[in-house]
Amino acid sequence: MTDYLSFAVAAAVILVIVILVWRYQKKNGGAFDERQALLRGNAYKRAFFAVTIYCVLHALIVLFSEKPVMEDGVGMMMAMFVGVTVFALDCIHHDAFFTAKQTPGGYILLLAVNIVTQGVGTAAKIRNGAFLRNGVLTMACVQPACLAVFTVILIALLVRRYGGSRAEAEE
Amino acid sequence: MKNLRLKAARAAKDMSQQALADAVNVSRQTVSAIEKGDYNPTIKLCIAICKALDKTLDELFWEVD
Repeated sequence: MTDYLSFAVAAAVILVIVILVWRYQKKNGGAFDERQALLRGNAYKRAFFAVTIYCVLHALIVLFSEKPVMEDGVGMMMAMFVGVTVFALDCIHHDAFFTAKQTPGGYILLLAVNIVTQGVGTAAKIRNGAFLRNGVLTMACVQPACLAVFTVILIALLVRRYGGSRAEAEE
Repeated sequence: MKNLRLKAARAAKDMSQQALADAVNVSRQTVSAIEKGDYNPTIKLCIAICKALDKTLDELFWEVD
């Protein structure tokens, strides 16, 4: 009962934060311009196909492997990460991740904080050896996967912002 | 194909890509993509750019063979 209550409280807190961030962005971030909207649509399509291909591969692995590779649910969580990563990287690559009015500084800080917290959690789980149980990947490996996703997104943002800025300097 | 007329009109108004982007509510990368010919803007954005640069659609976007 306590577990359900904590889950409900956490979900409610996350929902409130999402609503506040959404309202703030709507007020201060502006909208994506027409080129960005088009490219975000393409990014969504690529993410959708990446998830579809992943799901097919995952199903084949589950079907043909002699013993389970991962616990139920882990594979589907990974599918979500694959989709998010492909979408974010595609948008970042095409300068469609932020609106014209948004500054990436706050997002970079948020990602860095997220990476640090996930990293601490992952380090603790590595010490406990919680990722594998009888040769099967457990739900504990979702945290390092999350860490990997946000690290990749942060690196892509930094490369795009600082690495690509010289190449794209105004002619 | 590069849109050199847009670039020239912007330079004549002494506007940077960012200034033009702010004037028409798009990102600087979008203005850059239009000038490089990597993106074909909608007629709505073309009109906004023309108004910002005091030019006609023909002057900026009509391709003459």
